[in-house]
Amino acid sequence: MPDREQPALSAPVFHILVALSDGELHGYAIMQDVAAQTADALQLGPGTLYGCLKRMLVAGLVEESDERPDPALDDSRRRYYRITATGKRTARAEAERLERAVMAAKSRRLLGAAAGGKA
Amino acid sequence: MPEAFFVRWFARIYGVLLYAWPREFRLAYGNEVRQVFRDRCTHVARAGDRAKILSFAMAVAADWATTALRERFEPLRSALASARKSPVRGFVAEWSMTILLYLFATTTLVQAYVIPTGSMESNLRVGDHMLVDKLTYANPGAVGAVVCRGGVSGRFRPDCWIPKPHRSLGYRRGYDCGASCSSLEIRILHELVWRTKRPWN
Repeated sequence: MPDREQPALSAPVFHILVALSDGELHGYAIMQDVAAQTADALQLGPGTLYGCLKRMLVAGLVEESDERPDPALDDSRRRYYRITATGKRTARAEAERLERAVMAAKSRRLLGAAAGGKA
Repeated sequence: MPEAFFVRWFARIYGVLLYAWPREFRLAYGNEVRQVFRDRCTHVARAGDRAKILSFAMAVAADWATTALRERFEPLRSALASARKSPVRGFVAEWSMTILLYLFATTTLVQAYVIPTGSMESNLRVGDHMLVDKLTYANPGAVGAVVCRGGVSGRFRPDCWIPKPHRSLGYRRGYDCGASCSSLEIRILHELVWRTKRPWN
């Protein structure tokens, strides 16, 4: 039921959730992780990143972390973000939706060896 | 050295640009946004590739502008979204938008009329339907134009129209009425009929 009501996540939101699923990160690390995930195809700007984080905080997908994961590299100006249980569930639902879409594309030979492209 | 210079100035300009964003958003995330921007700037500057720096600048400008727009219109968007959830508010919102669009269209674009009297018999008959195009022939000082059967066009004001001078004498005096066919301009002003800026006898 919640899955039905949940519209498809926007690409930045999904990739931010995926980036945070490994652990807590600060803004710039999220940005780098998203770029790495998408082979530099999605390079989040600072405004887009924090606009998304703001909305994700309101929606309860992520939360601010009090702990400093790495005291050696710590910078007091940076805030760290961590994914919530709702965020994980949402990201999983979206990943499953994408997986189904990819399967459908593969079964119609849009994707794979015949198409020759990389996703 | 030029790297640090570049980063410092770019960050300074960016900090000023952030004032285009809503205050709350800036206060909540401004410091972090600037920090992230500096990090990214340093990274790009270290690469030292002119094309990369340029494309980075363009991307940042686009990001800045879309964020400004998105954050500014966020309250409106969330209000619309919540209106969509409640049927009553949705109904009110939809009808308000419809009425606003209708008013905009009828005052500036096009309006439908039915001819009520025989005062324009040679051009328009009683009961003729017509659409007044308010845009095509509009010029400064005129509300719009009538395009009627036979291709006569005249400037048009909604409460009085006079395609033919001899029929219009005495018709709705006291209004500032206008009609022009080619270079001839007929106008009733203060109970006098004027023809191209000279009184009509």
